[in-house]
Amino acid sequence: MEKKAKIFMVDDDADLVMVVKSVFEANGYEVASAGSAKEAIETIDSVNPDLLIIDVMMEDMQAGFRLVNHLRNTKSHPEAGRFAKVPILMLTSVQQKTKIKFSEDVGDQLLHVDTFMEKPVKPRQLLDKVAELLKK
Amino acid sequence: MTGRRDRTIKPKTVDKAVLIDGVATAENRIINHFFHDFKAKCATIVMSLDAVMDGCFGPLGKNQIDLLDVALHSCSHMVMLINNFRDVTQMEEGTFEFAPETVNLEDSFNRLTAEITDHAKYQEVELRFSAAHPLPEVTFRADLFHRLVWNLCDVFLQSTRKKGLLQCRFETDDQNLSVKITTQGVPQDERLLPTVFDKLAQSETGLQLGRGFRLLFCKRAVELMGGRIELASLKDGCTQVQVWLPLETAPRDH
Repeated sequence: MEKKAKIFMVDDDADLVMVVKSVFEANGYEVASAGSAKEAIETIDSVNPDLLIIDVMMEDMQAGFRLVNHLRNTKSHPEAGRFAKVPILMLTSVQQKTKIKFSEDVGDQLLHVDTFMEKPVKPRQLLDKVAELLKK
Repeated sequence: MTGRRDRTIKPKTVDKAVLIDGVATAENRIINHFFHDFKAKCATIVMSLDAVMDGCFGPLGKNQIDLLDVALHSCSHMVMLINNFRDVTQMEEGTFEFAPETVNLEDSFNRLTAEITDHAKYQEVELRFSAAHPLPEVTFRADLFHRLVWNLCDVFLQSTRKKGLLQCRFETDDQNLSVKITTQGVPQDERLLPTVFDKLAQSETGLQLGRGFRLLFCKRAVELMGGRIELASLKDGCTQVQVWLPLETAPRDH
């Protein structure tokens, strides 16, 4: 039996999480969620996702980027090292792509986010993009 | 040793311009946050409707699809208005990010034609899109250009009488791209036309071309791209807007 891919959605909008969860579960995925970057950092080990969908603005304007930094910046956060290569899709209400200059360690380097999609995003497009990222 | 202590309280001098600027920036931030939250809810509605319409949960009947389509259409429009307001505040604040990219104008033209045709399906208006082909590749901020033309067409669509004609034409010369949109609507009082781009001084004409922030957004977008925009009421009862954008667009300091 094929293992279901597990999506970890991190977004403070519970309604949106419900929509995305319904769509993905109807298409054979398993979905876990967290309502804040802090909660996501605390629970990611137990969730053990295959892909993350992260909102940019949550408990504060930089919460999403802080989570990405936690996952990608293995020098500062070695405990999150095993998730460094898990694909990240960022959902944003902010149109422009933002250079993430998040900590001294990162400097001017872009933290690697696999893709940005602006809300509202067509569920079919989201499904297709997630499938594409999981194949890589 | 005695002496009278000076008890005069000297008010702290604050640079008035800095104070006003600070308040405006704070207000804009509050507005940005408000509209972010507002937009988040609209986004949820749009995505829910889209998911159901797209058959993610099983097939639907035609009546259901039509009704959901109308709801989706309204919500998408709301999102567009929110984006405009957000971007106008950022442009005026000087925080709007401008990153030009190569745009294939033929693709852009075709995409706009398809989207506006779909958008106009509930209105009995004849649409006529034309261009001086082949259109070149240009350097614009692609999404800004797309939204600029889309918003202009939408504003004029609302002003076009039933069974009237809305025309949109793209042309280029050595230096500029021109986008001209003409609508068969109610003629505008020329004295009021200059106010349609103003944030607060809205046109008082029946059609209220300037209502909302759409034309203001368009003007700001055109200025950001180094171009110009003109609106005119024509003798035959049509209203026309024309935009000129330099083909090599460098971001303006803002």
